Amino acid sequence: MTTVGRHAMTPERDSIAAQGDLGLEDVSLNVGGRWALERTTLEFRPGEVTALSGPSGSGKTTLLSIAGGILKPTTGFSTYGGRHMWQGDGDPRHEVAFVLQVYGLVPILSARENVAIALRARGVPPDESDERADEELTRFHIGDLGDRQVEELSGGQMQRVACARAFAVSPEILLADEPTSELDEGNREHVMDQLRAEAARGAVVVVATHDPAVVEASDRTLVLDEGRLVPAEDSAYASRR
Amino acid sequence: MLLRSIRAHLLPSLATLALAFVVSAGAVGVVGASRVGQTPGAVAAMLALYGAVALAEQSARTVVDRSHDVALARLRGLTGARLVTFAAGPLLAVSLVGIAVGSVVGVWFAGRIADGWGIDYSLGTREVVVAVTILVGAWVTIALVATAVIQRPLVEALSVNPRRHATSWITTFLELLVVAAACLAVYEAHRSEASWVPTIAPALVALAAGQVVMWLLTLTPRLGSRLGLALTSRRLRRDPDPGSVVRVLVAATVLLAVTLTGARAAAQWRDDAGRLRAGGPLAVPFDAGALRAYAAAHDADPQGRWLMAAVAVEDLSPADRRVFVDSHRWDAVVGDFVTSTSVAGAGDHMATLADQPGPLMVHSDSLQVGVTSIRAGTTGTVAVTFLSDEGFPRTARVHVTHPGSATARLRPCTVGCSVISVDLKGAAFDLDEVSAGGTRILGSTSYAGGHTQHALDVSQESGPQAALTTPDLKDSATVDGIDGTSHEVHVLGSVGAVPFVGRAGSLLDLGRVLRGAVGTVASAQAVVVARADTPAPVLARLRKDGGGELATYAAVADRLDHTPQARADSLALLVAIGVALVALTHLLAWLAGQVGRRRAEVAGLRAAGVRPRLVRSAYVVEASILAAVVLVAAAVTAVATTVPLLRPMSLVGGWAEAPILRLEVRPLTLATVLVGVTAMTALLCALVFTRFGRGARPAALRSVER
Repeated sequence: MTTVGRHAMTPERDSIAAQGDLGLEDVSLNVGGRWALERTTLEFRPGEVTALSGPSGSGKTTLLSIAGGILKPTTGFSTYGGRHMWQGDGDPRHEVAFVLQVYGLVPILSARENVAIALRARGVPPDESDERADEELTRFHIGDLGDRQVEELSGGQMQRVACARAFAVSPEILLADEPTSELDEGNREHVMDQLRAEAARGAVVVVATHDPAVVEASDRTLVLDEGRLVPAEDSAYASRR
Repeated sequence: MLLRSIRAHLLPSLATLALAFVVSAGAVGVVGASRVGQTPGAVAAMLALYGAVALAEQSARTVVDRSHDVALARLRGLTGARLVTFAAGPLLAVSLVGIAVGSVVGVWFAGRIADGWGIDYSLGTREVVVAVTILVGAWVTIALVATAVIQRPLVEALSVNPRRHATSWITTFLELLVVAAACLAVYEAHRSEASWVPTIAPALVALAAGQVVMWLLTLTPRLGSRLGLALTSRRLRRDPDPGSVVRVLVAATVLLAVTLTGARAAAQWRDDAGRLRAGGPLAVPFDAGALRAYAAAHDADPQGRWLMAAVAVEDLSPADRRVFVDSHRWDAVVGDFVTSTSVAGAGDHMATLADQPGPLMVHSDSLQVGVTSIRAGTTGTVAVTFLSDEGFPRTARVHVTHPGSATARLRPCTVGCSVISVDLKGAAFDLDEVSAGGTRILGSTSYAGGHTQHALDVSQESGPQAALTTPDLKDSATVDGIDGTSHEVHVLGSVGAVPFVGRAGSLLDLGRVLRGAVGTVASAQAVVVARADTPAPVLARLRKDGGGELATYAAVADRLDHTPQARADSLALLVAIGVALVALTHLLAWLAGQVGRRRAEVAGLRAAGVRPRLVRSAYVVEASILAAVVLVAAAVTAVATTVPLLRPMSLVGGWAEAPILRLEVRPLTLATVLVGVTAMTALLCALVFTRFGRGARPAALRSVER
């Protein structure tokens, strides 16, 4: 795995805060004639855990993707630190880390290698990458699975590997899509603790979730319904939860 | 529903169709042609065996790719035969179409091949049996794989992250069986009388080599310094899919190398044997014997630009097989004709062979004797013994009674005669010359009278004759001449073979052996060899001087090209083309499947922060490594097994005394095959692996909500 540029440094809270909010300005996305997201303007603040909730198909993943710069909106833009998130090729900026709903792990690599590859992509030397990968896996209580090939792991274990990969790079922006869907109660709480720890470090943390416990544990909740932000109290979805 | 299912998995279905088509067209065509051409039909088994493995792998991959669809069908309540039909139906249909159409094309193909050989063709039972066997084999494989897929746990089949399954015991058994069969085939090929064992051994060995490579790939060490090495080493180690493609490519490369090497060796042998058997581009036989041929060649072509006399004695004993050529004319007449043959080295010694005295030839119908003195009233006799141009020894006598010139008739001596001896008898006399037609036979001589004086005897020349021999005769001390008399020889060097007589025999100068010869043995065949560009008037003069019907090298080569062995070579080349097509189709089918699989991998790598340019470089490295594995494995196998596999085969025939077939690893042939296959592998893999477009962006991993 090749090193890229200089070694990554864990950003300090103040330096993250200095970048400002992760903002979406009048963002819309039209997919096949249907508005998956419609005229959305909002900010995600550093030091906060923001929950994005809503029914399936409401646009949570779409919003996270646009916010993280891996999906180009039809209209509008997202910015962070004064720069556009969309870089033109669909790749996220190195300050951004995703916990994807389908994990996005490389099946032929081991758990450790999947975590280390994110560090190596940010310029961390190989030995240090492996060491930090082991630390992150231990952080999520799967330190003993480092050598196991990802496709041998259970759904919950893979989800925690995906979390470890995202957390390992100490991102300024952490976007997690259903990071607790496969976890039991104990592990779910642990993941939320780690998300709050990242926010406490000053990162912008956004979690798309159906899980009421995650919504409950977040600092702020935004509700999406059919591609639009709706006030939580007006949302039938929120009231059902 | 069947068509819908095929359309949904169009590329894999097309690949299966193509494989089934190529295998059946090739196998049926070759079996049909071999049946009418009376060549071993087992050569088709190479393609059938190889194609069976490729088809089985492709079918298995296609059925496994449908495991999600099959699981959904189970959820909808499909069971039993309906479920098996759903799972296997599309592939069964596709393979049936491919094999049916391929078989029809194969029959047409066999007809065209038979036409080329000048043989009538009609459909036979063998072709039908082969087609049905291929169909049954394909269907059994597809049904077995479909059954295995159906029996997978539903939760695994429906999982978004499907797990790879351990190799089934059936697969392991079949893999071991191939390796064991290959070992047995190589062993039996050198012992068995059956011709089919050596014919199928290369296919088994090639498949076994590919299988061993596939096993060894699981031991690939985990290399981690670069992304390309890391991904490749782990993929080869953990994923049997690329290993199975490497297996097929290694097998194809080895098969191609062995087949093409054998074909090249056989073609070179036919060229060598044809040129040696013919002796030259054109050959005119002379029934009147060696001297007539020699004289006629000199008469029609005094400068020696186009014609060269040669005499061959084909005896059963190698020591008695001998050929005499007019060495002075070798380079001009046949030098370039034999440069690629086993006798090419003779050219280095022709100057030495030619540097020997030739026959004392006279072309005249009268003999003149110049007498300087003789006692009056006495009679002396000059008797000249010569070999006539009819091939028989004769004596012409001139009776001298007074000083001056005396003559006698010399017949028959139209084309040329060879003087053997001059004897003087009767009363004493002095001669100043004996001549015939301007050729001085004897110079100034005095005869005292009384006993017969042997004034000239060319057969009493001292010194051994120079000769070239094949290696087994290099210690020869004597060789029989053209008239059967034994001559001491000095062997100058070795040649691989001798024109006309083949791999065992001696080559001597015709002129030297004619000097003093009293005839030609009955078993000798005298010819005048001519260049292809010999002017028609020269050939006409040869005919006038007693030459028979012109024979050509082309006719000899044509006879060798129509032997069963030559036909088998043609079929082996067709099989090699079939193997190459199967390998290419299999590779393309695998690559088509890689596009979708790698999309998710690339998206995951990019989501983790790895830039696309780096991923592309890594995949180019991976393509190069795959090609390098094929190159090394195939090269090692081909070098080690080509000669042992070819040796027991009957690759050549049509001449029992032909030069030995030279079986060796041919660097150019091997390099061509290796470079061709590995370049194709590297280029196609690199092209496909790096062609990830928008579908490989991290956003593609949003699939659950989309």
